Amino acid sequence: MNFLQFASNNVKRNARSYSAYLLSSAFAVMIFFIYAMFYFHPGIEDSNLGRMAKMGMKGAEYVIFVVSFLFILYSISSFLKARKKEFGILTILGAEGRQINKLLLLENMLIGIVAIVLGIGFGLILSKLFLMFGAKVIDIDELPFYLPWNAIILTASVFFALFLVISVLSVGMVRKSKVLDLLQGTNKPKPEPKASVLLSLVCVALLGSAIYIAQTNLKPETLLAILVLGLIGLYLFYTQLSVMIIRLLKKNRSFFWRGTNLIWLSEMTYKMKDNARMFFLVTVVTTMACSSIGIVLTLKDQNDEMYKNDPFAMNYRAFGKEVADKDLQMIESTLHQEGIAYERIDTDIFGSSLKDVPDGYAAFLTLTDYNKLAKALGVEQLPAIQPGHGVLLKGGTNSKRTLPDQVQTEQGNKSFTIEKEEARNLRGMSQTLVIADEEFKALVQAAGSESRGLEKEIIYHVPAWNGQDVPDSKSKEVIVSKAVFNQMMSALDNGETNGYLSARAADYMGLKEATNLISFIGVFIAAIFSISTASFLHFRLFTDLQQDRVSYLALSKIGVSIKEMRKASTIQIAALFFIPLVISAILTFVGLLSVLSDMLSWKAILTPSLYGIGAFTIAQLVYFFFVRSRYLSQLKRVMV
Amino acid sequence: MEMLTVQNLSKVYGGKVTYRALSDINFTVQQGEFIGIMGPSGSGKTTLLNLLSTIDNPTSGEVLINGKNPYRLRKNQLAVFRRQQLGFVFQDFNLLDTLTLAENIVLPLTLDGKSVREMQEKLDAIAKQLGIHEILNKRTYEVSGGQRQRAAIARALIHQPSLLLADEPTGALDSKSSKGVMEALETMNRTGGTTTLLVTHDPQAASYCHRVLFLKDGQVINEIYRGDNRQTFFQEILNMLSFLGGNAHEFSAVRL
Repeated sequence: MNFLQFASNNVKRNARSYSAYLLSSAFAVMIFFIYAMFYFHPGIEDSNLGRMAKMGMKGAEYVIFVVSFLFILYSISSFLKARKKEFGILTILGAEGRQINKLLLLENMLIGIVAIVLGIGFGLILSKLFLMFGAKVIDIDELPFYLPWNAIILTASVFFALFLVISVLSVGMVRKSKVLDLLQGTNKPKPEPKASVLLSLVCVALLGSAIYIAQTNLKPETLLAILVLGLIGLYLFYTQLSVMIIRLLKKNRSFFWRGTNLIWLSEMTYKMKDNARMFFLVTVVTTMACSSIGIVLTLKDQNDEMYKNDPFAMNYRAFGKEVADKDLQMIESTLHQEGIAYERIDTDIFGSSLKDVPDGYAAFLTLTDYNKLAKALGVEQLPAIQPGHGVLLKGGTNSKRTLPDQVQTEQGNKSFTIEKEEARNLRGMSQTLVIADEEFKALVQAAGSESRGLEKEIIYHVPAWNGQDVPDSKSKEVIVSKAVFNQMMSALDNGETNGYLSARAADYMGLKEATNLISFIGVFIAAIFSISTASFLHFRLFTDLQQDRVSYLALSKIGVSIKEMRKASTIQIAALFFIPLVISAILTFVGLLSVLSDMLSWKAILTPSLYGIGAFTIAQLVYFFFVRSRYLSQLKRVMV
Repeated sequence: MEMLTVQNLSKVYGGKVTYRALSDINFTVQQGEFIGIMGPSGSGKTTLLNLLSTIDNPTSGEVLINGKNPYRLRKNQLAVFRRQQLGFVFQDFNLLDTLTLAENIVLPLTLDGKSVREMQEKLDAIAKQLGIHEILNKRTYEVSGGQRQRAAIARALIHQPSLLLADEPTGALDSKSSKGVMEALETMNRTGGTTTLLVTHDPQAASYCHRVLFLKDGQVINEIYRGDNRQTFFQEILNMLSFLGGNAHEFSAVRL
């Protein structure tokens, strides 16, 4: 047996512990490779979205690299801890430090190379599928398959370097320990973990204040404070407070001294403390992933909402007093050509910021114009409005009303009392006050003729496009709106107009494509997070397996039944899997709520964040049942 | 009353080469008796103990503990039977490192769902008898081997089992601690009337028994009873062992 054989036997015969780690490393390599392949694809520059995708992929590559680095480093270090005794024996047998280093280096590189080969291999197999899917998302007909040498070289060299660095780091981890410590290894009983009362209180205070600040006004600097407080609080939660809670539970004898509680609860103190750092990392990563999913889904929801709340197909805004007749002619002739019946409604809009309302802004509309719009849609018209009063058109059903009952305009300096709200907004998502015609005239006059606040808004109503359901990319509305919109945009680029056209279908599709792209890139990153997390946990459990076997053998002899063993270890495994998940679910919801609650009601946030958390929970559940069945069948073997 | 009856017990290990570990063993143990089982390596001591402790199944024959045949039970029932009827003391203690001594001792009762008050009372009583009440809140690695073994005895006896099975309880201890542990077992047997079955290599430990059975090649080949004098009994055991031709290293180094 030469040295290489020794190293490869070590890996081969530890296959059970290494398998999950190897597979998840290979998975990370695969995703990295696929993104690289996409990034280097010659066809990707052909579309606008493709260039955006390229940027996104680049960012994603960094994220994957950092996560893989942490994950592999952590896995290796926990595995080495379990093998301490082995290194002690080798040392006593006369192995030099140099030889042990070489052994570790060989082992790690062996696994690394296998992972790289597997990852790239599977990546190549799946690449056709991925390219097809990706082409659809970035709106290109087809991305042909190619042999991506660039991507292969990049992936292989990046991960080779990663495994090499980690091997060198892992050598350092073993060298520090003394032979005696190595020999005693994990058999040395550990003192019971202690938690400090003071730090536990600090933890509660930090988390409490973070939540409190999050409920109040959000500014960039407070956001940073919340992040710092929250992270420190979370770390203390896992290292101190959780241990404290278990210790308090243990004091309650009628709970602690009952059935298998005695077994799992006492183990739990150790497992919490041992895994505190891992829990922390997993929670942070999961929270980030869930929040991103939540935000993207909220955006998608809002996009749908925005489309549905905008009753008119297009509106054209002429800045200044001149209406660009040329633009309007273009729009109308296009609609004619397509044979689409439409109705044109000319309105005046006056926009002004509001005094005493932070970031307050409202658009003003005359009652006559409102009733014209209402008539076109066939909805109820408004009765006469008192001078000094206004009717608020709230933007969308989920939007929060941010205006107080009394508002005063910055321009024109007029104040209005909001007498009632109309839930159905005829002007899309922006908050609009409908006021009496004379008031409007007075307001414009008071603001002065130089004011840019007054605009002409020409609204096109297309009865055939009822806007009840969101359109797909093949629908007539999307095709026509996009054509008109693109023509307007190029006119704007060439300086031929100063008007701005907004078409709800074009806006909708633009945002939809962007969110699709983000989801497309994000899904795989989230998958890496989730798989690495599960693999961490798998690794932890199986490094503890040997010890658990010994204690369950003893327990089995004194009469612990298989049923009780299953119960106790299920609770322990479930705690490992779901404590971080529950905490990140709470954090995600609190986080999203504090970031988005200025704009949206909590109901609009709850569903998307539940989707994000739900997806992770389902993935974790699958891993949990898989790991649990493997673990229990291992323990069952020692039960007599 | 017979606490343990062993009838025509045989155990054959299958496989390519079948091996008869026990053949046709018969003996009975009366309630309150303290019985030792000795024999050279490979004589079948461990196999016998595994069969008695229901960890292994016999090939033929019967074991009745307190009149019941545990092999007829299902696996989960068997676990309950073990924790109610049997007590175990092992060579390597098998205490859980994550628990204090007190928690280790009450474990069988918690599994049976007894009330905290009852557990506490029983714990106090048995800890006093075994002289470990002052170290109950220590952890396993904070106390000596002898103290650990006495805690293990307390765990084995706290639920008042029908039969205490001790597998080389002094095997991992020095002579002074061995003496303490054996005296503890003897006290529990005398005062509590615990039926005890001890498997050992150590003639010194065996000399605490009322009766010692000798196994060789899977058969009971002799048994000797203790008279009034433990010293003479010890000498008889030594003689018996050398007659059996056990390996030299199994004798105690000290001859009295």
